[in-house]
Amino acid sequence: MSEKTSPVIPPSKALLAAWLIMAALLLVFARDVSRQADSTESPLLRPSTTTGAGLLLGVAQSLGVVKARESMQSAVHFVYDNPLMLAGRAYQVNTQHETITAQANDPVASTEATAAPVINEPNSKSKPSSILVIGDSSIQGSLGLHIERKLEEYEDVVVHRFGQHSTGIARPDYFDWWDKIEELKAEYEPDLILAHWGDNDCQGLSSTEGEFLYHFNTDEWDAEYGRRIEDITRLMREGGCDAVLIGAPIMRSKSFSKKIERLNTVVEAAVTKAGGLYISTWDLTSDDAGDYMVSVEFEGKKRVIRAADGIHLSVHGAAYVADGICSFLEDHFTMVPLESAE
Amino acid sequence: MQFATLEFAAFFLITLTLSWVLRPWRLWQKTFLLLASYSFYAALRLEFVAIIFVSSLLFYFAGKALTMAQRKGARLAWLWVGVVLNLLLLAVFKYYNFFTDSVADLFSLVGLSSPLPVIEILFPVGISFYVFQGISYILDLYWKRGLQAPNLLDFLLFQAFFPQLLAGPICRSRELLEQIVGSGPRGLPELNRAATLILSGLFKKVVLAHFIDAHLVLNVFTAPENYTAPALWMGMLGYTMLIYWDFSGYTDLARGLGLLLGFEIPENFDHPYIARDISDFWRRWHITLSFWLRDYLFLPLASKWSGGLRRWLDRKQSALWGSQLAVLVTFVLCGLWHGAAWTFVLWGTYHGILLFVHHGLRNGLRLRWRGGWWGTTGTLLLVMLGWVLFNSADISTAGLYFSRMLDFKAAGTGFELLVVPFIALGLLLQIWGPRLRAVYIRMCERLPFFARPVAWFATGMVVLMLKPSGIAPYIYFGF
Repeated sequence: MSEKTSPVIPPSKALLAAWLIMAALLLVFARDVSRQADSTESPLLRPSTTTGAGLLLGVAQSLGVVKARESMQSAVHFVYDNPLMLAGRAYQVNTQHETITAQANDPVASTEATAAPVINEPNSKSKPSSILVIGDSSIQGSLGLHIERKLEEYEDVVVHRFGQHSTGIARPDYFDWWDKIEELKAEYEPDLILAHWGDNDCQGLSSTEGEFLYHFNTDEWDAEYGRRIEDITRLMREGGCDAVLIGAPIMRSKSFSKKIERLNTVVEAAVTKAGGLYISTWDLTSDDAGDYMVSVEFEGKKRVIRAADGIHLSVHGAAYVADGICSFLEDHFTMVPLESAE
Repeated sequence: MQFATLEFAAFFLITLTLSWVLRPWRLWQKTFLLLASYSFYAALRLEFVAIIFVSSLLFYFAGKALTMAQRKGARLAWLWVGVVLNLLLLAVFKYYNFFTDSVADLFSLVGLSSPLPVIEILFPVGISFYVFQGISYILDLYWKRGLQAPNLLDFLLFQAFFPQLLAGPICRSRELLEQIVGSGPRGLPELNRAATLILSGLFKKVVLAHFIDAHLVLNVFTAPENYTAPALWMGMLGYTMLIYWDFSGYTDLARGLGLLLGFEIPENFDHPYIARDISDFWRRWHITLSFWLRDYLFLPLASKWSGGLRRWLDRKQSALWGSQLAVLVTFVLCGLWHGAAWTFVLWGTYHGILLFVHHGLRNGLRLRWRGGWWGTTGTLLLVMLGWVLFNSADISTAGLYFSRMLDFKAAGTGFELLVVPFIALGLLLQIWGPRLRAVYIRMCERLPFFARPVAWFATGMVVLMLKPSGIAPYIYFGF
């Protein structure tokens, strides 16, 4: 059946149709446009972009378009995110969680309110038997895989891994890690959680309702992000579990590296305050001069440890960093390699 | 800038508008399209533009010198200059680290360290596609069957035309360059088809491919040891559909966008998973690449080797064995073209062996692969097994995947029920997809013009509402 058609449309008509479709798309996705405008880094451009996006969002909201679209998408995502599993293990779904909005509005009070009782001090040299590895696409992919494989080389250790690409702590409206951690803790009852976020967090912070809160590179952002890291570390540590946060590595781009460095500083302080441990992959992936390192001597060979994008680790890089993480764990916990046990 | 984003939509709308505004001044229109294409590419990395520019200059001037040369020796020399220098570019940017890694592994077997320096090299997205496109241009000029670009601007635009820059289709000079050189259409004769292709591409990429990747394939292929055998079989099926939706979805978008700009880009897929046999599969899958391989690699090699074997074999036997060897080598190189890793080489070799056996049985022993549903199912199964190799991180992970697929007693995580209708829909669309598209186009044609954008918008909204969260990258951008 032929798809070819014949009527010739004048370009002016076609362009008018295209512009009308674009205008309609902008109305439907007004909230996303507004978020993008709010995250504009240039202070010169930001007033005009936020004003324009604000007007667009106002019009879209008054037409009821934003609410309609979000309701439809919530219904679809509910089906996608509550899967029925076949031919294997299934997850238990836990729907309870605290809203981030309230805590963001009152950071001091909420920090006191969420301080959970600390059962284990760090550096207790406990022997973890159930380790949960969680985080973003790095954990879902190569780095997580190599950490999991390396951990399985220790005596009496069972490893569980959950990674979700494009996620972090900055956007709980997109993916709620608090929810997920409660679910995974109920499922696996770990005594050690290794977590990695940050690659997707150098952006503005949102509440769980999607409301934009603070721009990256501001003191308010640092305070709120630090509070979230503290809060999530305490959540991980509830019930006597140890928590270790893995920092983000150095990046090839100097500007991106600066952002990551700022983020890592906030994370390290917050994790330590909440009684967790922090591993610096920055040190593993930078040379003696503190610069981005391309290759390293690893397992007797010189290997490129970064992917072509200068952001992700290569397969060898993931193995190398996983090795470094396990060395850190050996220093802080009782981890007996299987070979020595035999 | 990915196609399925608001930023790209805004960029494309502005480019479309200015392109048609400049239509009466064809030279300015083409200059603008070239600048738009380079801007699109520069949004990934500025250095990529320098690389494609250098590559295009090499092809253009070598081609020009080739057509001006009188003697066959000089023509051949210019052909080698154009092809070899560009293949060197491709080799350095795409294969250097693969080569050094492999050499390091070889040296370590005898306890030595490799002398080759390890350096970080940019990987220009799309380089495999535009280098092959340039090679077809210059080879067609050498064989006096191609169209020569009348000026540098036309050739630069031919190489960098942004709808097909990043992942093809690989266009011949008589396909895309001829349209660039021509005066171009006065209006849009295929507006319905363009809109349908864009909607089809979006549906395949942002709904089908993204869902299957996020909910099945990514996890299963990263750590197959954590999944049950049924989950791994579903993962294999899932990736089979994913790579098709991802790549053909991109092609549909490229063709739709090209049509809106007034250019017809060739089709790259013809329902490959209903292929009767493995030969038929390669006439339907990544058509522009497989025809490129046939015309510029397989046929010249087969002809040369058949001639060479005449010393020992009769005409029929030498033709058979010449083409058999040529098909093996062609597909090993096809695998290497797809990626700088041994899994891709193994995948290409696997398909080369399948074709070797298929041609040998058909042409040598006069045995035919069983047709009908059995033949189609058997072919699909063989292709799916190859995809496991293709998508595995390394050979040992592929081996683990295959062994776990056969271990039905092993415990692990299962798969989501929802992937089943997605995969079933994908398989059904292999059969009914073209009919569905034609019905949609006819339905839009029957509407008054002002109602058509409403229909397109409504369909687009259904697609975008069904989209899972996030944006997954295109698989073929890695090649």
